[in-house]
This record gives sequence, structure tokens and C-alpha cells, in this order.
Amino acid sequence: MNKRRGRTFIAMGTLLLLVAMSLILLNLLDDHNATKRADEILDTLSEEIGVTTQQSIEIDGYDYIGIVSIPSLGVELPVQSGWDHGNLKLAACRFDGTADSGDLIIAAHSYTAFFKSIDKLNSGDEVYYTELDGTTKAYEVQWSELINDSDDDMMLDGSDDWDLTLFTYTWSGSQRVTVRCVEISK
Amino acid sequence: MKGKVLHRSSIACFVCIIMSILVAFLGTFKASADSIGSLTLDCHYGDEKVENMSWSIYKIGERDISGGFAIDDAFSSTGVALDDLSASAVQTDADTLAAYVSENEVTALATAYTNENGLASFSELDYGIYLVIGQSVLQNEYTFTASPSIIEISADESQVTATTKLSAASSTSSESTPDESSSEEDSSSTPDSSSETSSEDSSTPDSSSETSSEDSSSETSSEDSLSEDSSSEDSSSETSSEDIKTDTSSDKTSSTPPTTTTTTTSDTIPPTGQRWVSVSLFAIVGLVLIAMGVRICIKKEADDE
Repeated sequence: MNKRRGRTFIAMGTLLLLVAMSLILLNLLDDHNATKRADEILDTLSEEIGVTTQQSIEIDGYDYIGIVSIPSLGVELPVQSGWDHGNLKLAACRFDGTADSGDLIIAAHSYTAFFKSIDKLNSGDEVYYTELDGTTKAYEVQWSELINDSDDDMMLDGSDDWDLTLFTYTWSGSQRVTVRCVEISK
Repeated sequence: MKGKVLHRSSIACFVCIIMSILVAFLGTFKASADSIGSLTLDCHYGDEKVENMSWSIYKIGERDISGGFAIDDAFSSTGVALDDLSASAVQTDADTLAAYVSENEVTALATAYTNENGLASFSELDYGIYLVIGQSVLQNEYTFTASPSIIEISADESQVTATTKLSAASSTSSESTPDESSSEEDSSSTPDSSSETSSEDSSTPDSSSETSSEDSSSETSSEDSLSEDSSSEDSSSETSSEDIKTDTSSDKTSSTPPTTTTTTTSDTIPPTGQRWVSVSLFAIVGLVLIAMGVRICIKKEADDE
């Protein structure tokens, strides 16, 4: 009987490990698909930069407003006009503000090609944001901080001290890695 | 007896684990397409398409079994019940809910900005009753303000396009309350027929476009009979929106579209990131169970020997 119980536990444990592996594969698949989709969108968007006079371009039903690039991380992503759960799987999303008003906040998932490594940015690293009219604004990372999941005010606050904010979730999902940048020309 | 108790506890443990797995997987997959809809907001003021207007959406309730409306507990304290579906009553309810959202910093389900065609879209919306709130935007020397609206996504009409109610105020005008007569007559998403107002030269600067609707769902039809007069006054939008930031660079009257001046305040921040916590949890528990099972088997063999 004891042996039977032991086998039961082994079977349950194996099942759970299989589930964990499945979730890992699912996450990796999500990551791969997101990178692929973002690259495709980026190619299309890049052709429109400097050509269009519109403030946003629709690609596959989603509106895009620019491109954010972080050379030190090798990240270059299209930026969508708004955000929701579906949008975030495709590209970075404008959460709030605009580049011209100096309070732009861009959010993205922590996929490999997205904002996974923004916690590795150091002060002085450069970030570029290119709008559809071809205007490129250069920013310099000033500081990074962790903001609690529920602390919306802190995320939106202090726009006088920064011009661009990038953020994503930590691995646990309980905090947001937030990078504050200042426009270099200022 | 002891063996039976242990066997039952093993089964119970197994069932709990299966339930946990199901919950974990269900959480990673999208909802069935059969109960999903979408909403497109059309923001026009006369012939002008209003761009970069920020819209936030909140789910406020659902249809109940009897066909009435069940308002979510989060909004129950507002007293809104949607019992009266007349245009004015629904607009009043929408205003009440919008005020509640603002005062209590309720987190939005999603936020979208209108594109160059004046359209903002929300997708993957479960069937239910939604409140949409727009933020004022400055465009071509006018500040456009939107009235909040209540819209239903249902099986009867899952792909909804709603024309929003907008008012305009010249950015050079003095601050004053918007002309509410136009908004009170209009329906946003009601079973009654919509009424229209038109602005007349400079005397009544406000005009809005409405949606006519059936039941509580919104429809696409609306008629604009609007005239925009550059000498129109007041109807300041500042009183109906909060935390408007004005981008001074957008005050110019260039031919290129001005940059947006929208702000959002208390919208929730989207949960980015992947679910690695679940992976760790399952892996750890799985390893623990395997270790326990192996230990039991070894001990049993040792006892037998």
C-alpha cells in the first residue's frame, strides 16, 4: 500500500513537471511569435517613416505611431497608439503622453526582443524615438526604478523630471521595471 | 482503515492538482470567440475627424438571466441600475459613473487613441455593459470634449461601432461651463430615438453627434448637422475633463495635424510580462512530490527486506 502511495506521488509530481515544461514552451513560443510579428511590423512601418504626414498608421488593424530603439540592447520596436492585452503581444505600446509634450510612457512585455533587458540599462545609455514624420528624438537614461504593481501614481508622476519612460514587469509580475529618460537636446 | 484514509487523501490531492492545472491553462488562453466582441468609437465633429483622443473603457455590468442589467459590485455604490433606458436617463447614469471613476481612480480595462480617421477600437471584449470615457484633446485651435457613454456588447451585436458625442470650444475662449442643453437632449446608447442639435453660427457653439440605439446597445447611425464657427465662444472643455495638459507646440495653426494634448490619469497599467511564477510553482511542487514518492518506495522496499 505504501508503495502504491509512493507511485501515486511520483505520478503526480511527474504530471506537474510536464505542466511546467508545457508552460515554458508556451512562453517561449509566445516570445518567438512576438519577435517575429514585431519584426514584420517594423519593416512595414519603416517604409512609412518620413513619407506619411499622418500621426498614426494602421497595420493589420492596429494603429502605430512610431519606433522606439535602444541601441545598447539591440532593441527596435514599433510603438502602438494605445494599449490592451492584445496589443502588447505585438509591439510596444504608448501608455500615456506624447513625445512632443515630454511625458511619453511606453510599455512592453518582457519578451526577449522587447523590454526584457531594460533593467540592464545604465545612466547615459541612449534611447531613440522616431515619429512617423521622421522626427527622431534622442534620450538619455537618467535612472531606473522598481515601482509596485499597484502604484499607478508613481508611474505617472514626476514628468517634469523625465521626458520618456519605458517600463515592463519583473519576472514575478509584482513590480515594474521603470526606466526614466531625458531628451538629450534639453 | 489507515490505508483507505491515505488513499482518499491521495485522490483528493490528485484532484486538487488537476484543478490547479486547469486553472493555470485556462488563464493562459483567450476566452472563447463566441462571447467576444469589439467596439469602435467614431469621433467626428462635423467633417472634422478628431485624432489622438484618448478613450478608456470600463466594464460596469452584464445582462442577467431575466434580461435586465446587473451592475458590477464595484459600481453598485453609484446607485446606477439602468432601469430607465431613456436617452437622458442613460446619459445621466453615464455621467454618474464617469464621476465615480474619476473620484475613486477606478482602473480602466483598456485605453485607445483615435487615429487619423477619428476611430478608436477596443477588441476582445466580453459580452456586457461598458462605460467609455474620453479625454479632451486640442486640435486645430479647438478643444474637443467627449461625453461618457454606456454601450452594450452582446450576442445580438458583438461588433459595435458607436459615434461619440463631442463638443468643441475654441482654445482662445474663456473658461465656462459647456452648453449642456445639447448633451441632455442626446442619447448615447438608449432604446429611444436620438435627438440632434445643431450649432447656429456663433450663438450656440456646441454641437454634438449622437448615436441612435436599440435597447442598450449603440449603433452606427448618427447625423451630424453641425457647423463650426471660428468665432464661437465658451463651452470650455476644462470643466468636463481632468488634468488637461496643453502642449504649447500644438497651438500653432499649421497645416500639419497638431500633436496630441491628451493625458490620462488613473488608468491601470497593463500587466506586462510572462507567467514564469506558475512554471516555478508547478516545477517545485512536482519535484517535491516525486521526492516524497521515491522516499516512500525506498522505505517500503527496505522494510520488506
